[in-house]
Amino acid sequence: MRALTRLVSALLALAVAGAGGLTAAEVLIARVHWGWLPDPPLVVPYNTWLRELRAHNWSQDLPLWGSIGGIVVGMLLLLLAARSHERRVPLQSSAPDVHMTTSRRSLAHVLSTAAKQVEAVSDARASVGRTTARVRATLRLGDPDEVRERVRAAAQSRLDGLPLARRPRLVVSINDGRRYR
Amino acid sequence: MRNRTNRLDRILLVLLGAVVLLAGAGGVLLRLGVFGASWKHRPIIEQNTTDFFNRHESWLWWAIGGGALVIAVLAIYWLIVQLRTERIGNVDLGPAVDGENTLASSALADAVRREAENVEGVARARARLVHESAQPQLRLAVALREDADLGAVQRALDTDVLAHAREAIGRETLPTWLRVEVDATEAPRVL
Repeated sequence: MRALTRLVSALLALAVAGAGGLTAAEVLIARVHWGWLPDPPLVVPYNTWLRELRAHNWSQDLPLWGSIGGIVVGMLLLLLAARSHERRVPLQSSAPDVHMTTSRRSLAHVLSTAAKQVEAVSDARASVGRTTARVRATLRLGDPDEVRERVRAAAQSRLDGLPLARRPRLVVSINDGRRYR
Repeated sequence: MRNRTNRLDRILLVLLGAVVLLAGAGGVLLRLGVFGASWKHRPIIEQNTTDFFNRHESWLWWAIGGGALVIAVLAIYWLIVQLRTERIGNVDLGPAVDGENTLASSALADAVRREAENVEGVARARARLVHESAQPQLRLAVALREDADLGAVQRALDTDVLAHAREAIGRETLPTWLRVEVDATEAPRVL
């Protein structure tokens, strides 16, 4: 995701730099009438564009599709920015010059694996937030309350075995898979 | 030591994304008549706007041109940041009799990677040296096997791998960014 962010950022930077530079150059050429400069416009046919924009009103299709395009592009950029923000989980380091982290995904994987190893569980998923780790286990057999405690004990034991700098609160929920058979 | 490029990218992507999204939403709301039924029949550039530009043309166009130039320079800086790499080619080992002692950072990174992969519980590792030749920093990413004991891996990395790396460059400290992934289905990326 970071490679894509970097590529999109580079392309956007190039586009913005080009647009900014062209705008500045067009303003300069249009305002300064030095003989050695070319006649305006330099490359941007802005007079044609302005004529078009004066001729169109907001009820027509062109501005509507342009606006929809803006919404789509804006949402894609915001989505890309959100997805490239990787939140790391700090781990206790044994040396002061070592900064150790793991990913939330890794931690979730550890917890779901621990829950799946409980005999009465057929499947388990886990997610880790800033302060809370959630484990959702699907019950294969047995009493849900009892299995919940066993899953909690297994997941908590794995959490306690990790050198986490900040221990998340563990929330365990049981989905009774037998109901849907 | 955080990835500043990624943070800058995110800030600017959010900024640009929000501007484009709000402009698009404004256009759609105008079309829907949210700001009044008369708005949607008005031209995109009205006569009032043209008159305003004509009235203030002595300074307004210069301000627009200057603003555009500033934005272009900032965008070029943003582009340069994308092309910049933190990786260093050599590590300075200090003065020698006839010059400077240096060590190829790729050789050190390769040695660190190999030793890390020999630690019990480590499936794969990647290493690279970043920052400055005189003040190197190590970025090490290790992917652990499911049954790995993270505490034991951490101790082995610190007492063996990182200690040997510090020894190799003759320093008491080597700032290290250690990324540990437990669900080692693919090699982790060194960032």
